[in-house]
Amino acid sequence: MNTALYAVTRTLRALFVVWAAFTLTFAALRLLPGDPVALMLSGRGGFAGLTPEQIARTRAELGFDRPLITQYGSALADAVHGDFGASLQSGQPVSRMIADAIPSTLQIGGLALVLALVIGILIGVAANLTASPVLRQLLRSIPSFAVSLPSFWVGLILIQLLSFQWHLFPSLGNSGVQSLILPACTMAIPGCALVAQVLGKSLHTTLQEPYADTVRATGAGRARLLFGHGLRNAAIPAVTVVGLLVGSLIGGAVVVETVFSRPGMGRITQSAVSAQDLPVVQGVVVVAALAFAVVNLLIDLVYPVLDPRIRSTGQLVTT
Amino acid sequence: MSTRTTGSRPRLRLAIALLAVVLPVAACSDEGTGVGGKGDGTPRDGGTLLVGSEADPSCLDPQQTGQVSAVDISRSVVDGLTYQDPKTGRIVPWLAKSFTTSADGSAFTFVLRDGATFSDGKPVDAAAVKTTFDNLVKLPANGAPGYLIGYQGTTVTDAHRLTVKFDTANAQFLQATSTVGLGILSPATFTASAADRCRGKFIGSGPYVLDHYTTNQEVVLKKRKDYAWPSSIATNKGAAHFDEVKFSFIPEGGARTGALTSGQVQIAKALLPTDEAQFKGNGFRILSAPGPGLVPPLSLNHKGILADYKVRAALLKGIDRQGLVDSVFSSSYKPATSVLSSVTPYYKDFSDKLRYDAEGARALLDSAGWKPGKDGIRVKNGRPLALTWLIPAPMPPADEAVQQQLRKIGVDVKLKPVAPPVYVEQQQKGQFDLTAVGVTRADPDILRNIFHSKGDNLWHLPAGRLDTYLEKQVSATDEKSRQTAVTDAVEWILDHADTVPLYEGAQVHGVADTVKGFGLDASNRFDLHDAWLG
Amino acid sequence: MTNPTKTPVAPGPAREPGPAQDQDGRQPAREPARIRRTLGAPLRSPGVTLSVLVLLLVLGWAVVPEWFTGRSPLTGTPGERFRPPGTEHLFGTDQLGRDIYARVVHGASLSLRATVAALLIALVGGVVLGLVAGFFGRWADAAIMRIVEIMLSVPPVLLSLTIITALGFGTGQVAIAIGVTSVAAFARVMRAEVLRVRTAPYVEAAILCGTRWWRILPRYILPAAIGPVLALAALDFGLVVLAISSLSFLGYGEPPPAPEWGALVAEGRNYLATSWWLTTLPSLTVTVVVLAANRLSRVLEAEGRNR
Repeated sequence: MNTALYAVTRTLRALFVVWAAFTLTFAALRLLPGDPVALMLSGRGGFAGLTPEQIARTRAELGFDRPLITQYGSALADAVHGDFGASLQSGQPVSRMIADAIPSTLQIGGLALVLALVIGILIGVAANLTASPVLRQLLRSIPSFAVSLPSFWVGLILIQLLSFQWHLFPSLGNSGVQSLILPACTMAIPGCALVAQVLGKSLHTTLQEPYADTVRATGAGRARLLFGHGLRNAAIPAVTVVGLLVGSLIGGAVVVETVFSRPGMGRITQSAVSAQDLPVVQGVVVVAALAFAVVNLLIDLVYPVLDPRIRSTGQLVTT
Repeated sequence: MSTRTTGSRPRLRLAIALLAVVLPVAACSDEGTGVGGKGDGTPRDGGTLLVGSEADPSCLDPQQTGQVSAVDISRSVVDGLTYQDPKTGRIVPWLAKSFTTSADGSAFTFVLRDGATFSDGKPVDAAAVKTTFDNLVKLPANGAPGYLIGYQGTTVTDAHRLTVKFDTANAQFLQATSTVGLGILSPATFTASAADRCRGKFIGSGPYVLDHYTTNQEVVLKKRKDYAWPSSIATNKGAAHFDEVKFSFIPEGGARTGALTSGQVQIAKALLPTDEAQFKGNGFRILSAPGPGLVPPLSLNHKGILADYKVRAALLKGIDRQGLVDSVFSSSYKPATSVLSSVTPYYKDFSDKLRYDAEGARALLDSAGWKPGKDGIRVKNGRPLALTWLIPAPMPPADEAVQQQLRKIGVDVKLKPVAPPVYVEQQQKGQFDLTAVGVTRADPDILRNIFHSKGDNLWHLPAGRLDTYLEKQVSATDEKSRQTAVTDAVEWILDHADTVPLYEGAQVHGVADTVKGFGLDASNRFDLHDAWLG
Repeated sequence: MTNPTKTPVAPGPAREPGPAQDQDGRQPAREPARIRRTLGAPLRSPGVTLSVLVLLLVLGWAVVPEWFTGRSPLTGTPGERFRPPGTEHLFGTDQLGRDIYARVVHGASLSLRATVAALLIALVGGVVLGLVAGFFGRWADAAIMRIVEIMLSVPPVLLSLTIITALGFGTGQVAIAIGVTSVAAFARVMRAEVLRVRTAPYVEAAILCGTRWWRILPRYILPAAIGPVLALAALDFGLVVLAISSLSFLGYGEPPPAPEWGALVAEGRNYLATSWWLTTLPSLTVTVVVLAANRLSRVLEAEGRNR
């Protein structure tokens, strides 16, 4: 299979996945009990004492009286143009809300991704580099400890100590790098554990392999072995991990932005779910699936560059 | 004195429930909480005021919402015909330089001041007032539109003179003109849809203009440099002092407290009672004022179990109001002594009808046939005495305390926090036994908004003498007969256990000492016009 | 019915003879030795012993909470509000004078029940889908694996939240949401195992003998293929506890005063500045339980692999 074909099939698959996410949420949300039109009218403020005629009129205006399949078709067409309808809570266009929220989430998400990678790699490498068995054991247990921490608690502790008690960092606000640090750290912890775990394991395996002994026999030190061979071999799993990381960050944003009272995609999701604001939930899920698909697509396209075997077979060797 | 809102529009009612129970609104503080900025030195211009606000109101239009979180913002954007003196409760000139009431109390003539303009450059004239009121009555007759019940129309005599006419005498209208809900909007406002107005597309003549409103994030107000028409009792006669005011929405109480202590905001709204003690004399102060209007109650649906007077009366007796205040509130709050709060005009003390009497409550339930069951919850014909309390999420801490108290007399209160739209829907459909609708307004007419059986009547009250009392108080033309009608109404409500008053609400804000001259107006709304940063 | 192979297929603790065993040619460990080793494993490491004790304790909380605390989780003493942790109140008290330890103990049954329910949903759903996809192949396989792929392509938290939006709030709904979200991963593992087992001689023989699929699936394939899926369930236990407490922290669980662990933290958040124990101690409980579960499941997994 040649590279172009590989790229095309991967892209089609990503598109399929986003379409499916839209269809899935459309189905889930339309099968809901409760009348979205009545909810919309009462939720938007100022429309008490709804008469059945009013509801029927709005229903017709919004096209909710058409057959489900027609509704699905036009909703899909709108979604392709970036239109997910209006929020039931505020009446604002969903696409506008999401567009407003994305930069803030990208900021903490991006910083969290960098932190997770840097710290995760440091821990993973250090755990294999150190000669002290005690330290090694300690470094190896950090990831499993870190994944067990509820991120809402980590956030609350950081707020309480670093922000409220010692005034080191602001806990709120969306201005300046300073206000990004605490939420990004909270968000980075599970990812950091993931990176450290995967990298640590991969390096460990490399060091156990027979050729490692050969390299050692040439007099190369542990460090040389690690950096020369280990990290190169760890590249594929590390790239895979980035994909997983992005997924976990998108989810992590919900808790972190709630804890830190930060505006963003996560906060929008949290409040939309609380208010059963269906169009917003759908918009967020589709946009997140799109982001997730794009990242995974990029990763798929990077694999062949890293590993020639994939280029020739078109199949991912590691899963 | 006046504040906002009554409750029938869903959003309003929701707001009300929220404000009532989360942390009720404040009002005309007679404790000298710094209204007007006297004694704080010479005001300084400039700077940005950062406010930590408790909720994103999701609608800012003063005609459509009465939520505290919205009104604290819109008050600085929209001026009223009149202003209410927070110290005396007197109505004083604002956009109207003078006003007169006809002898029969049904017509009100206003003469507008010269030179006031809306932020779109249009003059504040009689036609604009007429457009504002004419559009307001098109909205469902609750909340601010409810102030205009019986509205016949506005007659424009000339550019500066107009007369508002009602079917009958309207004792509450003049006070209502000082509220934000009856604030005057530029005619251009009404070309926007109701939803767009909610998002901030309304144009007022206030000292600030709305710069932007980002959902779940912030509202930013910018100063209007040419403002020169504050109320007749304002200290600052010109433009506002802050360049910018930023309201950030921080729903978590603990996070607001922390934001204030760590200097990330200068005003934290709606402090939790437990956090108040932190802010005394350490560079911060507490600004608190009791709220006029209907005290936060347990509102009873007179259907199902609560159709029985004895069960309702047992609830009335089964609440230990002092205990409630001691356990979940601070000294800024007081036990309820009537259906109306003690700072409401025409208030009378009925604390003898609100005495805690657990034994009496149990006896009433016994006689109603509800006998203690195995787990302490009473049972009748095999059915447990369980009442559903519909709550718009997030649930305030006080609710669990009430639940505990009623458990002691054998009533199982099931707390049901639901998403706000669901709350509105279920409240409309009467799918609840209990809910909490308290309303802040410095006029006893609030009773009519809530308890009149020909209104929305969410509580399924039977038509009766109460309606007559409520109609009498609004058409009364002298204070004495109004007082009699109000007292009769309150007495009737308590004697029939139509509602269970809980505690007197208050609006409690934490304020950094760098904010000078800041206070609340007669209706407990933010008065930012006189405030400045020291 | 004849048993086409000499391999024992009766359900029981014996693992199916997979290719692995044939390759390294080891005989299955004799039963007593294996039992001794499995039981001996915890004793070898204090960490594992501790994990077992923690999980037993929490299981005790869930099953018989009244053995562990005499206090009510729902009614407090107003006079004893905001007591810090001490001998009287192990975890302190909250804004209504309720004992936090009692609430955590009683909350265990809610949290653990939701966890078990979620895992059961994931397990049953995953096993059924995996069996069907792996055994029948062709369009069934294609369709199921497409669905699985879609489910894996939406970030799990968002998928759970979509389901909660559709179902409403409550511990049951949260459990369903988490369970359904995990079905995809389980189905994928199950399918891979089924594909492996399906090629085993005794299964092919059964198919050739004309044994109907509804006998083959439960009798030959399920017992042989379910091992790794059960291991995945064990590994997932800690993560599910964490996910459920996160969702209940966000307010999608049981309404108050139900002492669900995440909800305890959410409620305590309002008093963060004054009463640290309201958030810290319930969170710590979650952390310790998750740590213990993770630790134990990894040991079990390693034991399983070594066997």
